[in-house]
This record gives sequence, structure tokens and C-alpha cells, in this order.
Amino acid sequence: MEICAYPNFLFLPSASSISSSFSFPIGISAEKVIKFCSPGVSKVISNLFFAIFDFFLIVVGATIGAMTGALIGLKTQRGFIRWTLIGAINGSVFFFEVFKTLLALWHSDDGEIEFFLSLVSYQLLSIDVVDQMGAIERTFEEVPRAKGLSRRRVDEIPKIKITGKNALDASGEGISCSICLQDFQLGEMGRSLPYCRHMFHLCCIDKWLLVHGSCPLCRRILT
Amino acid sequence: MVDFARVQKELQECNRDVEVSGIKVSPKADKLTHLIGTIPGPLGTPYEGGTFEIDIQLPDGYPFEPPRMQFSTKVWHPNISSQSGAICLDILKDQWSPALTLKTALLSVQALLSAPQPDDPQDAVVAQQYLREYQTFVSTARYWTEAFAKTSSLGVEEKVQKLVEMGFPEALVRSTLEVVGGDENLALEKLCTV
Repeated sequence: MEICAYPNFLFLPSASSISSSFSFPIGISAEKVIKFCSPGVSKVISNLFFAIFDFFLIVVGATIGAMTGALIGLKTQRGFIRWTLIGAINGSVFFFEVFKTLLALWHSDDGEIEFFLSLVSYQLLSIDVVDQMGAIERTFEEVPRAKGLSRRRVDEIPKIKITGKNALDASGEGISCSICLQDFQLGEMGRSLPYCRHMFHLCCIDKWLLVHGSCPLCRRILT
Repeated sequence: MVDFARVQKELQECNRDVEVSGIKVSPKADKLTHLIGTIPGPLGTPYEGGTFEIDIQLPDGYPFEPPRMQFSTKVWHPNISSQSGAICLDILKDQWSPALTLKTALLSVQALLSAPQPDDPQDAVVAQQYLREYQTFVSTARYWTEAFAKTSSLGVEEKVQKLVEMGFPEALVRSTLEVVGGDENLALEKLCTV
């Protein structure tokens, strides 16, 4: 997916440089706060401050991402909602990671630009954004496949006894079960599916519904 | 267990209107679990004029499981393997429904010949060619139709009869036709030079 084409692998840092700077940095303005409050309270306040700031950034990221995604969706005409969602998730993850990276930079002694870039690329790649997006893409593109129903659920669908009345179509011709292709005979038992009212032999439709909860004729999914 | 009553009924109904649809299904052996389907190449496509044979095997769960179909005639198409004849079509996989029949499935295969889906290929080489050099694709597909889908065993008897009527002995006609791979004109040429 093109949207995930973040900075490349060129700046991948060595393992040691990451581990040394990887303690999560909490307390950007902690020193100022300590002057006024006791250490315990200051920690709570700074945690709260960062939680709110994180949340704000994620919301901003999600909004920008959603808008971009929606535009892509509209332009490519390939699923407006899908692209909006992908954009929102991408945006929020991106903003959150940039924020985390900036904080790490703030607290690290090594302020070289190369190191900054390496950190950005490493952190963005390390959370497997590409993988996450791939999973979303897959679930969206799958054609819905109905799961089999439970025996109890199948038994809840009303049974019908074939009579002279319901075994004929509008033009008075005998109708047949679309599964076994045999005509309905008087006295046989059938099932008429909810909503679509498509009718099949009891034994034929039950066998199907247990493995695939949809109408064989119109594919309406039963739950 | 395959529902043989249904398969019988399907064969009867499919072969009843073979004149209209051009789609034929017949048992390959005595068993009704191995069948041969034939579809004409759709008009206005590189497959026009060809007759394509499809090998059909019915699994035990038929009609609750899809029939296994693959081309036994070689075809040049993005969604059909040029090597094995395997078909990439959703209704033959997870979109199968027991309300579909061998005839409707074969109709879908015929529709697939008219409308290739290069974005979901079975044969990557063909799909690449379809997308990048469409004209080459068309001529290759047409050539394959000429070469593999027109010398079917369907018209052999007619060809033999025609050549026998011209005055050639039947045994010689049959052996010559076999040598040239069923091409009537080549056979005539060869018979004349003998």
C-alpha cells in the first residue's frame, strides 16, 4: 500500500544505539513542576499532561488521516469508508510515533540529525504499520463468507409442510427444490428462509445451513 | 455421497437445450463423478470459433461442495493456467452455492473467457501480457484457439465421411487425419500426394 511508504531503511540504527535511548521519556517539564510540588504529585500531573497531549495528537492525526483517506477513496472510487478508516488509523499512529520520537530526541544527549532520522524511521517501521495496514486491507477486500449456523439456530427457521398451494408457482407450475432439483411432493417437509422466503427441502437446506449460513439462491446471509 | 439423482437431472436438462447454449456435459466414464463439459468460445473474443473441453470431477459433497473443473483444452487466458488448465473463478471456490449447476458454472466459465480479470490472475505471465501488450495477448490467445481448440475430436467422423466420399479408403483417411492432427485440409493434401 502506497500510503505506508515511510522513510526508508537507509537510516536504520544499530541495535545498541536504540536500546540506550529507548527508555520511554516521561516528564518533559518535570523539573519546573518539582520546584512547586512534591515528587509524587508532580509525577501524576506530568503523566496526566502527557496522556492528554497524546490523546490530542492521536485525534488530530486521525482527523487529518481520515480526511486524506476519504479524498483518496473518492478519487480512486475504491471504497470511501475503507480509505477513510485506513487514513484515520495511519494518521493517529503516525502522529503518536512522531511525538514519541521527538520526546526521545529531547531527552537524549546525542542530538545529531542523523540519529534523529534513524530514530524516526526505526520507530515507524518497528510498529509494523505496514503489517497492520495489510491486515485491514485483507479484511476489507474479502468477499463476505457466511459461517455455518448452529443446529439450534437452523431449527428455529420455520418448517413448512408442502401442500397443493405452496408447491405451485404463480403460473400454476410445480416448483422444485433448487438444491436437489426434484419437484416438491405433497406432504414433504420444507423450510422457507426468513426475509427472502426461498423454499427448499428440509434435509437439503439444513445440510447447507450447517456449513454455510446463507440462502443458496439470493446469498442473503442468515445470522 | 454425490447426489446422483441430481446429476442425472442436470445432464438431462443441460443436454436438452444444447442447441441454444452450446454447452454440453457428458459422463467421461460409467461413473457419474467424472464428466466432460464443452463450451464454445464466446463470439467477439480471441476464443471465437474454438470448442473448449473442461474436465469436471464431482467431490463426495456435491452439490454442497463445488465441482472441480479445469480446462483440458489449452487456453491462453489470465485466469486460466496455461500449463495445467486450472481455473481461477470464485464460484468454483468459496462463492459456490448448491443452487448453481454444472451448466450455470460452465456458463460462468464461458463468461470468464469474455471478461478476463487480470488483477486476480491464475497465470501471471498471461496477465502481465494482457496488461502490458494487449495486442500480443490477443494474437497469442487467437493462435492457441486455432492450434488447440479447433482440432477437437467432435467433427472427426464428419471429416472422415467427407474424405471417404471423395474416394479415399477409410482406413487411410483415418490414419492420415491422425498424422496431421485432425486438420482436414492438410489430410487432403497428404492423401493427394500419396
